[in-house]
Amino acid sequence: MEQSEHKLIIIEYTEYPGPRYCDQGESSGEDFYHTQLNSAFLKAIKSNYKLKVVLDGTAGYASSFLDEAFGNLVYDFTLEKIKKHLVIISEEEPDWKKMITNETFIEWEQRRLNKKPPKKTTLHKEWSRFQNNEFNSKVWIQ
Amino acid sequence: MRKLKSKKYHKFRTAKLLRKRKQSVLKKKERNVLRNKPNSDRYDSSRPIKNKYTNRIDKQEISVGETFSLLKDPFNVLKLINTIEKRKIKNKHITNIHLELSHIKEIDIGAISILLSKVNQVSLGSKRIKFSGTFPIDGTCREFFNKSGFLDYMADISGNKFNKQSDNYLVRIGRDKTDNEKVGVHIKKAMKFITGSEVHYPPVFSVIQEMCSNSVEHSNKIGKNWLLGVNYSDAEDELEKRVTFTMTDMGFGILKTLKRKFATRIKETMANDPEILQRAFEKKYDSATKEVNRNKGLPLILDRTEKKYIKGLKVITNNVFLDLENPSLSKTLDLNLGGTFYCWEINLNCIELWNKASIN
Repeated sequence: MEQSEHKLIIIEYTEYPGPRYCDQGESSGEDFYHTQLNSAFLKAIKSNYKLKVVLDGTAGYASSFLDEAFGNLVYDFTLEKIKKHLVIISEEEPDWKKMITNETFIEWEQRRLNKKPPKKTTLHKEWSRFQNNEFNSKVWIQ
Repeated sequence: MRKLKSKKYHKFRTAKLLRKRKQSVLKKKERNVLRNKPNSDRYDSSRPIKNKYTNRIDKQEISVGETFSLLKDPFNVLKLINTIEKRKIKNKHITNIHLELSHIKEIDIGAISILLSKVNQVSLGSKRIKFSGTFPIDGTCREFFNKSGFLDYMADISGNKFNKQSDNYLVRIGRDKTDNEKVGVHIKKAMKFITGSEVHYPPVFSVIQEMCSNSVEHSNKIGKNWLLGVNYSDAEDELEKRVTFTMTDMGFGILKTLKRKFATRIKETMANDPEILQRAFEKKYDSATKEVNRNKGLPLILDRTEKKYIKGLKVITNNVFLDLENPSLSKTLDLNLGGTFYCWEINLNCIELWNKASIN
């Protein structure tokens, strides 16, 4: 039986997803990552289950919202960990799942290997990252 | 015997003659400007009005011709926008720009959107410049103009706000941030108009969010403003009902912020600007930010058009008129728009196609 803590449903965060960065508008991809996705994914890894992120039910998405949210996840946890512990559910718009899997994951993994960090437009609380085979939590980028 | 005049007298006389000549040249220019009829192809009747105490030009009157339609005659609309910009820059003491709209016989929401966007941009940039104007005399145009939402941002001579004429036409102004919830609410209202149900329509939300995000990120640093227009066209037949959306921003325009590699620019020397803009929508170039994970916005807009979830998408930016549904109708314009204008519509057919795709 599926447990509710295995799912992260974006409509519970916002019905109207916003732009890429916090300084561009409310409910941004950057904000969603730092307030919801980072901690939920860390919990999934430590408890050894798959986190299901459900995109359905919202008003729609800008590609930049999803790219920033899931891209940061790859940057902080590596593509290998994402493939093991993440499932994306998007029945209303399957193209988003394709974009995230075929483009975002690959592009951000490339950024991670090239050590090109993501931009932060506001000061965030500590967030987790997988580095040198361990998980640490701090303000990695200001 | 001729009287000898002093050097001082000659100097004074020369200066007087030069002054008279200058005044006569200025008066001639003013007469030529007034002679331009408002309904000619070159409507450009911009009349400077001097303050009689300071002798400075502090008011500019600009007359719009009979056709004020961005989609049918973009040249005249762009000429008005460029004239406003030119007068603002040239006359540093200007405090009032008067828009003479009484001669208009044809009008569309695109022209009104661009005009409001320009008025907003100028007002944001300089608080001393006020806009005033006249209504179209033609009954149909006047009704359309009143219901467009333009007057929601204006006041009458006494300084009182105009009463909201209609809920049908809504125009929303944003600045340096997106306005997700309000966009979503307007889309739900549009869906209720077409289908009877107040539900989301993700293709339009995505398209508007992409356009907004581009405007907020890439347009000019100071005085950013974007404008969303929603225009309802009712009909007895449900299939004929449609909602037209417009999105306007007064920034740099897509072509100016495009990042093309040097080798690509050499390869495309023979390409014209509409072709280059079309390729930008096809993801042939890098993002202005140079980041590898970017540049998904314009291709998404093209994708929704090709799948017919939105229809009739037209783009006017810099010197290009691009018809994404019929690229053969795209053309280079004689004038430049500093910014970007999008116009598209949805009807029941678009929504049914989307619903079918979602089920499958």
